[in-house]
Amino acid sequence: MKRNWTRREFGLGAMAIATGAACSGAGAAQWERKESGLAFVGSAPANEPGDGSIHLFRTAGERWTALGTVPAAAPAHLLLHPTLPVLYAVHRVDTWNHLPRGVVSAYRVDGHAGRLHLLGTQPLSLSATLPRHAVLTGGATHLFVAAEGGGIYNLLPVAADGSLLAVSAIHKEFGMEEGGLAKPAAPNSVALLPNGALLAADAGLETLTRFTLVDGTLRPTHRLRVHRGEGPRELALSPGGRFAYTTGAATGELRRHRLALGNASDEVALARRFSSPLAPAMAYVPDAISLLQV
Amino acid sequence: MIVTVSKDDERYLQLRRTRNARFPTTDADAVSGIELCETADDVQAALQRAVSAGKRPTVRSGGHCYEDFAVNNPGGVLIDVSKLNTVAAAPGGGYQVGPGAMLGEVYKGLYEQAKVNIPMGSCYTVGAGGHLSGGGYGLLTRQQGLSADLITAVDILTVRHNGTVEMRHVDAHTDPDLFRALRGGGGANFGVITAFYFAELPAAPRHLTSGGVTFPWATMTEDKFIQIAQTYGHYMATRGTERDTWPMFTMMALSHKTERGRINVSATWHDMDGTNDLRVPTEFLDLFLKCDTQVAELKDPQTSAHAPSGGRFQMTPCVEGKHRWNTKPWLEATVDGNSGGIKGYGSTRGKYKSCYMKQNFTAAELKKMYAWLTRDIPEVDTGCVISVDSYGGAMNRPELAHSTAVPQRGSVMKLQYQMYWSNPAEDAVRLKYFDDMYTDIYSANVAGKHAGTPFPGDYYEGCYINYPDQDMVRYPFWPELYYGTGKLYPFLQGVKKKYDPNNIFHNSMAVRT
Ligand SMILES: Cc1cc2nc3c(=O)[nH]c(=O)nc-3n(C[C@H](O)[C@H](O)[C@H](O)COP(=O)(O)OP(=O)(O)OC[C@H]3O[C@@H](n4cnc5c(N)ncnc54)[C@H](O)[C@@H]3O)c2cc1C
Repeated sequence: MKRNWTRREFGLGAMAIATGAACSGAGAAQWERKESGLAFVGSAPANEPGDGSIHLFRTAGERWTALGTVPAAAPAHLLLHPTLPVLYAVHRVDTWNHLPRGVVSAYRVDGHAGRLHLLGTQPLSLSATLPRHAVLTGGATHLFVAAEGGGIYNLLPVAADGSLLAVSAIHKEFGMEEGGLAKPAAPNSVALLPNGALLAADAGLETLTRFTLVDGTLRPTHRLRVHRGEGPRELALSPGGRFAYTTGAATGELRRHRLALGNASDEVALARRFSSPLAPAMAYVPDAISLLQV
Repeated sequence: MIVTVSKDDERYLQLRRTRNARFPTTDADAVSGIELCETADDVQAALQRAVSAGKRPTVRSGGHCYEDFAVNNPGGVLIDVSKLNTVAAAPGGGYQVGPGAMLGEVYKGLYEQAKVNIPMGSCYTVGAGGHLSGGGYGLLTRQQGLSADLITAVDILTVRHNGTVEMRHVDAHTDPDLFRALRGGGGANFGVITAFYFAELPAAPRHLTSGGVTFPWATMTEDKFIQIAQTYGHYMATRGTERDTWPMFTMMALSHKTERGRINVSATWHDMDGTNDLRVPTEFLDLFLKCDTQVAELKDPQTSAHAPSGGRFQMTPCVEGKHRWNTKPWLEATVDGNSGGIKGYGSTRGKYKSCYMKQNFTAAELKKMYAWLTRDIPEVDTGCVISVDSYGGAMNRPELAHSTAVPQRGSVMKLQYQMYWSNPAEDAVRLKYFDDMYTDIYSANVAGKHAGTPFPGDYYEGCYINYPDQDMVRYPFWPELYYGTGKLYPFLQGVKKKYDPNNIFHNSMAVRT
């Protein structure tokens, strides 16, 4: 990976990275990860929301070659469909088409030409502003989005071609009051658990919440208070799903939580200040936790 | 008792609707269920249930909202308070009105109890919940002020940071900031209102007398159109501001041109003291004699067979000083005909826009109106109307701008653009025509970035939040159109943050924080 990107190169603001590779054989529909392939970097300038872009790179080991840039509202988070050549972007905006809501879009990845084609853009529900993170549910049937601004989770069905359909379920959180202080909910990171449930980190509620999909609706089925006083910001699972790792929203403290039946338990603090509390993403790599920073 | 109507209930399709058949826009936009509440405790329980389940609650009283605020709520819960319809003496004095009471019931109830009145709107089936919290004006507003001006306390359920629903009784001393916001700022921003209180109310009039003049489109010219409208506007901006004219309500209906269509000007006089002295409305209607050139051709204009039904309009020219008046006891005239349809659930699709006017019309503005009112949407019966209501009087007392959330206290006319149709296939073409029309008209006197809107300035004072128009949100300055350019909108944002910190109560034109 090219190590010397700077904030200046991509503009100030959030940045998102997704990597993958289009199969070189015929039939670009097949999609697998391998050493060489494509990488996508989203940049969402904080000062000019709506002026973001997605940068495409051809990767070969450590070497990345820029292929081009696609304008995109404010792609704060990017993720790939597990089987289709489709990239999803979560745009961290507080207004879309003049209404108070965030937006997500889906792109078809043309691996041969190294291009992105917009499949469609879907607004989130009213008041689901400043979405920050998303994950695909099991079987990639839905996109589960955390909208920090409105304290809202949205679920959007994924069509057969990977494009996104209109929001089908909404869960609106409320905040908390403690010791005379009040905080609004602020869902900011989500993950898919091996049992198909969803795990969400909320810096406002200071919780890890497990959601289950029941008859198409989102139900919180377990909550654990974590990072008391600051709340969790980033969330990553170990590959087998035995542990969830979180960072504290203010201190950056890294904690590990054991997962049993999708319920998290508060466990050990691994590091006091793991990284900048502003780091936008955290990913688990096989032998360590590494934080991708810009 | 709460009656819960869910999607599999046969009542669901009927009850998820509103009066405007455009909403819910699609099945996917509809609520997942309706909670029909009977008491404030029911409302509290239903609201708590929705909030705790992570569902968005919206509220419906009379179901007359012009936009989708209550019934486009995908997967959410519609809390229906139409059964909270008490109109009674309040404990401790004064009067109490439930949000579910229809205006016709309020007029009737208050008159029967104490011969008093709230100066509200003219449609029987509009609900007090949306109407009073959004300002509420009508035929008696020039004489008695806005409905919201008279509210002295409100019961409202709000939701705390931690999701707990709590009941508040707010007035000038308790939560005065929320109280002010609820006097015209739009109730749907802050919580669910379960009662309005009025310490004192003005006396109801004795009689209501109406008459009018009418000008056929068949003989209309642009010059004549301008002359009629400017005669009306000039009166409202000058003589109409004088105290003795306030019991008069006037309306000019600038309808879209049709073969048999007419432009009507009406005057309605409220007899406040039993004398029913009609000099003021007579003087007003006399002004329109000069607007017609057919004086010599009509022998008995007062009894013209061409007059529209109801006998309230006469063909111009009419005889100076003599007009065909129709006098009725006030209550009978006010609740006449139960207008608005049963429970307000109609099959008509509608779109509305509004404008507060501080001055007479300019010729440039009227030329644009004339052009649009004579232009047809191809293959569609264009049928729209610009209703120009008299305004001002008692509601223009400047101090009210600070004690209520209605900043428009300098206007002399209030315009309502209305279009109705029934075929959903016409939605797009009609909405576009209507939007283009309005944008063009408000480009005549407004330049620069505010062009296309009645932005507050020399001519206009923006729009009415109870006539919400989602087209306006494309302007980043839309809150200034509805709440003025002063400190009111930031104030409302503060109230919103304080009393609805989770933004539980939101819609496309709610106060944004
Ligand atoms: C036929 C017709 C005639 C009209 N005539 C007039 C008129 O003469 N003068 C005038 O000023 N206006 C008039 N209006 C506009 C009317 O005042 C508004 O549409 C008003 O908001 C309707 O209130 P509602 O309770 O009937 O509607 P609803 O659709 O029930 O509510 C309207 C809005 O208020 C909110 N709301 C309703 N109840 C509550 C509550 N209890 N607590 C908190 N929020 C609530 C809703 O969520 C929604 O956003 C008219 C409208 C129609 C359709």
